[in-house]
Amino acid sequence: MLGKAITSIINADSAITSIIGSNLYPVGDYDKGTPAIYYIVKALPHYNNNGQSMTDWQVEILTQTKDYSSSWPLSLKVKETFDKQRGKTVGDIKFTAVKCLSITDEYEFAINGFGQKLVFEIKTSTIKSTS
Amino acid sequence: MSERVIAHGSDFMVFERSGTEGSYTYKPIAGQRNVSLNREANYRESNAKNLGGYKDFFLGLKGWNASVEMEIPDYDDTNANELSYEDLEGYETAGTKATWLFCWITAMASTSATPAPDTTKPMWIGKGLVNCPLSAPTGDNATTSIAIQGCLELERVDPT
Repeated sequence: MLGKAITSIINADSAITSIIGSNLYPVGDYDKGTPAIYYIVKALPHYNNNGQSMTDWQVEILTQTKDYSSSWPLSLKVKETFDKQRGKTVGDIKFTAVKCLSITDEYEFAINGFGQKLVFEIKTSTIKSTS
Repeated sequence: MSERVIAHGSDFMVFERSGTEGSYTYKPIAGQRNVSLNREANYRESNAKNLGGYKDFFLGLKGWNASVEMEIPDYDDTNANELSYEDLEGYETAGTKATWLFCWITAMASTSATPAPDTTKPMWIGKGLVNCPLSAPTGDNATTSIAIQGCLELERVDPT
């Protein structure tokens, strides 16, 4: 599914992994400490008369760091690496369109972390529901 | 109030028919959204003096046309079971009068199945030329509104 491609993209960028190490997680309780990146994948099933396709997605990336001043550079690195995926194929998924819709400040009390929530609109080649 | 089952627009599609009788092949146009099938009617006016001051009309030349909104599949998508934009573009360039079938479809066997005509319901068949401009808006899917110019008769096939 798309989550694997998301982790591949982030893990392939040494500018990001040099900050978060292996602290990349699907959405959970935000309890893995800082620095870290959490992600949420939202599928937006697409329909036309020929049938359905899983091509439209909204992906939320939450960056978390110890202090506010280091959170924005990490978030902008995430934005940059996603912006570069347009037209590329990751695994067997082609990213036909990638657009960052918003970057919003976030504070997580549970881990005392500062960060941003990045919302991406992504279109891909069809992903089979069985994969 | 009577209870009626209303036909749904997404169940009406356009297919290209090829092959010979008994072994026809039907390929739906890919990424179909809205289909409009229009019949052109021309009437000839009668101005006879014995009509009491009223007009009368007689049927003139008949014609038909259709438009199909289509989401254009990516060039890397090689599904040969459906008619791609490149196929239609080829027909436009060559002036091919393909045979078009306008019909209701059967229930899909699976989410990845290709739509198939429901041969138990009325359908319409005719030859037509195509024109397919391309629209590529920023931030949305590339689409086309295919214009099918009908040639000669649009034949109604009614299995009932």
